[in-house]
Amino acid sequence: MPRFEELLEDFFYRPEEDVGALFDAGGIIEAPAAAAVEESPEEYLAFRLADETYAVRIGVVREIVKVPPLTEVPRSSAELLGVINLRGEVLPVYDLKLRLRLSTVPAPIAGPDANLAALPKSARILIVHDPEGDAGVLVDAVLEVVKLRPSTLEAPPRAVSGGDRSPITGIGRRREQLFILLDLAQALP
Amino acid sequence: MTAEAWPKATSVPPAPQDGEGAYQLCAFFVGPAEYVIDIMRIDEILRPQRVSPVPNAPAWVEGVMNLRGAMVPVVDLRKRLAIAGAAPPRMKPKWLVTLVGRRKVALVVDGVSGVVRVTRAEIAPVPPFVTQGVNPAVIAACGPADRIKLLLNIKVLLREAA
Repeated sequence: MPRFEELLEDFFYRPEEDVGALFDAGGIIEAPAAAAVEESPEEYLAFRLADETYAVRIGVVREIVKVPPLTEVPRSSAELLGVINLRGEVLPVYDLKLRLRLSTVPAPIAGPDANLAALPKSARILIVHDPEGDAGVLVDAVLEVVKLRPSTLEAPPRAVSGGDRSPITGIGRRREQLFILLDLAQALP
Repeated sequence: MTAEAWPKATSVPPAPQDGEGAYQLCAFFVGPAEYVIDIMRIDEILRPQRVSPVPNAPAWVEGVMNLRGAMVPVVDLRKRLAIAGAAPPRMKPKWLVTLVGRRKVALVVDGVSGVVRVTRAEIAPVPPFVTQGVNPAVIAACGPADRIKLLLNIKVLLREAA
């Protein structure tokens, strides 16, 4: 009874079933049931640190300032380069390279052997929002604002993210270019 | 019977949905008769909602509803099937949001009576002279003698000629 079987085919649901002209223009149209939710890209600020490109969510960055002479804080850890007086607000500035163990020597921008000329001309301090108080981080260069779609972000390789409090939250990719995504709240002390 | 508890439509070919070779069908009343449609077609079951009438639509189209941003046509099965007579008591009117292909259509029914499991062997065709036309809306029947349920062909129902 082929005809009956055909009708039963119509009875049971298949997402790819033929619905003829039922929903074509002229009839009642609705958006596809499985309409993909428009994915909005998120903005990240890309910066350079020891020849690698890093990125942080744009929302955490309050402002970007040129590197002024810093005031060294005695008996502080090496990662704390010093404090900056930003329009009357005193903020700590950290050496991100030391924090991430990309370098062993603190950048020479505070204290008696301060030598701002030794820094790359493009060096900047990112003033970032931090739950424990805003802070500055020294970077080699600020590159650009990149838009990355959340679905294109990849988890960091397990070998990279040592421990459960890893500051690296993932890898963003734009064509051939890779961005190491940082969670500064974790990266800062 | 909440909408969340219903299985979501997946790319399942028309094959029995459980190990015992039984299909799960959603049973509902329109007037005094009980009908079933494939449970995989049911996206959700709503209480009657606000509907916006559409001018010049067929009489059996109540209008359209806005289902979380998607415009879904609302079809009154009672009018579409030209059914007179009351549903059994204690039935509560519901809207079955039904998948047709990748689209949704809300069917207005007098009440949802539950999920029935039937095997292929329990589904018997209805002779063509009982239903009308070459594309009958009622394909077959199933169930015990005291509670026959009619298998509805939604796709046929939605075609223009009434």
